[in-house]
Amino acid sequence: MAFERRKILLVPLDPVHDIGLKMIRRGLEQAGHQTLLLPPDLPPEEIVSIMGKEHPDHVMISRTLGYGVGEVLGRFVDLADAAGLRDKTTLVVGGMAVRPELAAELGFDAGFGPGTSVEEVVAFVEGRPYQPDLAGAKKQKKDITAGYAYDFRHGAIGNLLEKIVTDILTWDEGKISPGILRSRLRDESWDVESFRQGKVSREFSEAYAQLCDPVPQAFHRKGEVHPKTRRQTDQEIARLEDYLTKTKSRMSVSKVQHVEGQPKVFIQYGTGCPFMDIAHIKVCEAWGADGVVHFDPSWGARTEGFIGGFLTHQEDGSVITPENLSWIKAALEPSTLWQVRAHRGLNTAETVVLAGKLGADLTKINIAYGSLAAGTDPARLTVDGIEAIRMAVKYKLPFDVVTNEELAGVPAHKAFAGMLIVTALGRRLGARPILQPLFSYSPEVMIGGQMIDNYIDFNAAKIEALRSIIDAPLWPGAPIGFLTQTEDRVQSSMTTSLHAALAAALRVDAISIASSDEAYSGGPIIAASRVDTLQAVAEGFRFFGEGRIAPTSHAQRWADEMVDKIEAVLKEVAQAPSFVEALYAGLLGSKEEGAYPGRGGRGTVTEK
Amino acid sequence: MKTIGIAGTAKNTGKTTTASALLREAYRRQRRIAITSIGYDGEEWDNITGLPKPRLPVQRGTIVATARKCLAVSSANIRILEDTSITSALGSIVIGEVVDPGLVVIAGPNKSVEVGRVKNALARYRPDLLMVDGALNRIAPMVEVDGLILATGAARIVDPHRLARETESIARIFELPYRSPTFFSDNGGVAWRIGERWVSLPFSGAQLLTTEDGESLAKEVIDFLPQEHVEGTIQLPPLVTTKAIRSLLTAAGTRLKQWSLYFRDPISLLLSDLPEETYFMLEQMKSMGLRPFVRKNLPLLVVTVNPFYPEYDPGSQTYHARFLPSGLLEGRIGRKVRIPVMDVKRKGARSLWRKTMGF
Amino acid sequence: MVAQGVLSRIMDALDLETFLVCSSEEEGKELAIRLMKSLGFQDVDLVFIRFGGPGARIRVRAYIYRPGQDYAWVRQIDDGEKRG
Repeated sequence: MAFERRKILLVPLDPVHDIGLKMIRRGLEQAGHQTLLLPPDLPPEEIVSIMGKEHPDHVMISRTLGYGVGEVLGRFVDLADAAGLRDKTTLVVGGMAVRPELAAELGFDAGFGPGTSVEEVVAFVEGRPYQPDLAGAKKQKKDITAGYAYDFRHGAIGNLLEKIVTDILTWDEGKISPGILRSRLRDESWDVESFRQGKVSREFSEAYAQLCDPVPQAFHRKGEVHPKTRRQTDQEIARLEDYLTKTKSRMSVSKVQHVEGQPKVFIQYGTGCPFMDIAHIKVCEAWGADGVVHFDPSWGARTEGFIGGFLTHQEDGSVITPENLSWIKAALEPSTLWQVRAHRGLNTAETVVLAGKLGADLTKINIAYGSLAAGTDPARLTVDGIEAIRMAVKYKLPFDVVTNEELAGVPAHKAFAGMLIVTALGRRLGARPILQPLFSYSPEVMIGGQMIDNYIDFNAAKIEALRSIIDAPLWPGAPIGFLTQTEDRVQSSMTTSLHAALAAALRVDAISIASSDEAYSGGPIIAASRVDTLQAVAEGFRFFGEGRIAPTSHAQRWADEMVDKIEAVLKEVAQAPSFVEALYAGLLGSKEEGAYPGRGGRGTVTEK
Repeated sequence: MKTIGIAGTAKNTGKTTTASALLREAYRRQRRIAITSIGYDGEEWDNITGLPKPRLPVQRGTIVATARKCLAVSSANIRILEDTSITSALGSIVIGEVVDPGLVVIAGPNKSVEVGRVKNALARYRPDLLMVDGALNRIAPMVEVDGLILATGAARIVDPHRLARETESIARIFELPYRSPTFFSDNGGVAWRIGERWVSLPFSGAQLLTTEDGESLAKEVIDFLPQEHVEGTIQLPPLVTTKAIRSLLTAAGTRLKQWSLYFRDPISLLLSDLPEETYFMLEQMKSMGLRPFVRKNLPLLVVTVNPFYPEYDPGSQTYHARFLPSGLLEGRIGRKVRIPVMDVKRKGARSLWRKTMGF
Repeated sequence: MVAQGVLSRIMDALDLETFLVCSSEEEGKELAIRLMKSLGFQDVDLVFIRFGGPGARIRVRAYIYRPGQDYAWVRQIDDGEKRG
C-alpha cells in the first residue's frame, strides 16, 4: 500500500488553545503529513480564503466553546460550503467542550473533545480506525525484581544478616511441620491439569485430609464446605462465564503511569465473593491497575489445610481454594500481575505451591510479621517460612516481605530488621524478595511526632535507609497512606494520590493503593471507590512526571538513625540463642510495642 | 415538486411553529409532503437518549429524509424506503414513509451538495411539497430550495426598529433581479465587448474574500481593459465578501460603470457580511452605476415574526418570557418590505400557505 | 415541582456517584439518566462519565433548586427558629 501524504490546515480560533494544535501538528508531521498552522484569531472568511488557495485535505479548527462560538463555527462551515470547498476538504473541530453531536450540529464532519490523543487524530487523518490498545496503552507484565543484584551496601549489617541467616538455617535443619508436609504433598501429588479437568484423586484427598484440621478434613473426606461459606451454583457459574466473556471482549487496559519508571500500581481484592472480586478486578484493570493482590480471610491462616470448591461468603477476604484462584486467574487480563499472599499462617508454604501451580506472579512471605502480629507460632512460621521461600524459588515467584507489624506499634527499625532477615534468607536460598516498608501514619510516628509537619520526611527516610543497606526492589504498602485516610472520598483519594506521587518521586518499583472508602468499616468496599483512587493516582503521576519532591533535612537524619537502630537490633538478634528465641524475647517487636508472639500451630514443629 | 426552506434567524424565532403550520395546512389540503432538514438543531436535546427531541407532527404517507438513529426516537412509525448512503453523526440518511402518524425528528444532510442529492432522491416519490427545515447558524445549504420562509422575531433583536431594518436588508438582498449569465461556469470570470467581439477571462477558482482578493482582481481587470470605456460583465465567484467587493469597487469602480455584476444567489450574499452591510454594499454599487444581479432565482416568500423573547433577570439569574405587543412587528416590518409578514400564531396556517404556495 | 420532605433541605442539588455495568458510554449515559428519573427526579443531568471495559463510572445530578427558585429550606429554618 502506497503511503498517502495528507495536507492539514490547523486553525486556532483563540490563542489560549494553541497548545493542543501544536501537539497535533507535531504528531501529524512525525507521521509524515504536511501541516500548515495558521495564526490565531483569523476571521472565518480568511480561513476559507486560505483553504481556497492551499487545497488542504483536512481543516482542523480548535476553539474553546463559549458565548457566540456556535455562530462563528457555523458561519465558517457555511462559508466553506458556499465556496464549494466541502467536497475535497474534511472539516474538523476540536476543543474542550466539543462533543461529536455538537460538531455535527454545526455541520462539521468530525469533532474531537477533551481527552483526544494525538494518535487518534493521526488515525482520523489517515482514514483508519483508531485502536487505543495498539497506540500506547499496550501493557506488559513487568518483573519488579529485574535489575536488582541484592548486594549488601552496608557491610556491617550485611555481615550480621549473613550470620543470622546461617544460624536460622542450622536451627531449621531436620525440622518438619504439617504445613511443610502438605506443601510437599501439594507440590508432588496434586496435578493442576487433572484438577482443571475435574478429576479428583481419592488418594491425594485422603493423604491430604490426614494433615488437616477437622473443617478441611470434612471437605476432603465428605465434601462438606466450611460452615461460613457456600458453593456457587451451576447457574451462577454459567452467568459468571457469560459476564466474563462479554466484559473481556470489550476490555482495554489503561495506564496509570505518565512517565516510564513510575511505580506499578497494585490493588487488593477480597470481598469474600470471587465473582464480585472479578467484577472489581476488571474495573481496576480498565482504570489502569497493574497488579492485583488476593486477600484471604483471617481464619484461613489459622486452619491447617485448604478446603476446595468455588466458594463465596459474606465476610472480609476471599477464601483460598484451587477453584476460587483458578476462576480469578481466568478473569485476569494477560498484562495483570497477580499476587497470592502466603505470608502469615499455617498454610504459608502450601499457598506458595498452590499460587505457583495456578499461575500467580508473586507471593508474600514474612516470618517476623506473621509470628509477631498475625498469630502464628514463631517456630512454626520459621520452618514453614523457609519451606515457603524454597517453594517460591522452585515456582519462580518473587515475594514481598511485608512489615505490617508497624501498624500494631512496632517501630519501623525493628520491623525493618525482621524484614531484612527474611530478605537475607531469601537471598541465600536464591529467591527474589521485595522490600515492603509501610507508607503509613503508624503508631510510632503518632507518638514520636515524625509526621507532625509532613508525611514526606519519615517515608522518604524509610526508603533512604533501606536503599543504603541493600540493593533490592521496593514496594511500599500496604496500602500506601494507611491511617491517613478518612471516610471522605476526596480526602482519601487525595492522600492516596500524594503518597503515590511521593513513592514515584522516590523511584520505588511498585505500590499498593487503597480505595477511597478504605477507612469505612461498615461494609465491603465498592467499585466506584476503587476508580476514585486509580484516577487520583494517575493524576498524581501526571502532575509530577519526572518532577521530584524535596524532603526536609529531617529525612536524612531519620534515615541515618534508622540504619543505626537496625544495626543495633540485628546485633542483638545475632547474639540471641536463636532467631525464634529473638522473636519471643521481643527483639523484633515487644509486647509493649504491640507485638505478641502467636500461638497458632504451637507445638506442631517436629524433628524428622 | 416545490421545495420550500424554512430558516430561523435565532433561537425562539418560531421556525418550528412555522414549519408545523405549513404541514398542518398541507395535510388539510391533502397534499403529498416530503420533509428533510439541514443537519439538526441542538436546541432540544433529549438528555435521556442524547438525541434531538421529536418536534414535527407528521401524518401517514409523508416522506421523510432523516438520519437512521432519529427513527427510533420518533413516535411516528416510519417504513424505510431507501438508504441514501450519505453519512451523518446520527447514522446514514435514509428515506422513509410515515406508516402511523406521530412526531418525528428530522436530521438531514448538512452540506449543500448532499441536500441536493437528497432533494433529487425525494423527487422520485413525487411529493407536491418538499419542506427543508433549517438549522441554527447554518444557511448555506438553503441554496437548494425554490423559495425561502424566514422566521425572525424579538428573540433575534428586541428593538423592533432595528429588527425591521435588518429584515428589510435581508428582503432587499432577495429582491436582486435574476438573470441567467452566458459566459462562464460556476467559478465565474470577467468579459467585455470590443466592437462586436466579446473578450472573456475565466477566474482560476480563487475566491473573492479578502481585501487583497478584491484589489488583485481590480488590478487584473484594469490591466486587461482597453483605455476607452467598454461594456462588460463580471460573474463573481460563488462566495464573496463585502470587504472584497468594496476594495474592488474602490480600485476599479469607475471603470466598471454600466457593467453587470452577477452574484451567485441571495444565500451566498447573506454570507457576505451582516445583512445591513451587504445591502449597503449593493446600494453603493448601484449608486456607482453598476448593475447587480443574481444568477440563481431564490425568492424570499414570507417573513414570519414571533413577538416572544426571553428576558434575563439579573436578580434571580433566570430568564423570563416576554412578548412585544401583538401586531407590532408585523406592522413595523410589513411597512418596510414588499413580501408578506405575518405572525403565524395570529394569522394561522391558511394564510401562510396562501402566501407561500399560492395554490 | 416543589421539593418536599428531606429533599427540600438539600441546598441545591443531589449528586449520585456509582459504577454502572454497561457495554458502552452511550448505554451508561442512558442508564444514568434513567436511574435518576426512576428515583423521581426531573431536572437531571450527567455531570461525569468515563467508560472502560466492564462499565462506566458516573456522576449524575438532580437539581432540587436552581438559583433564583424558591428555596424551601429558607422557610423551614425560619419556621424552626420561630417554633424554638
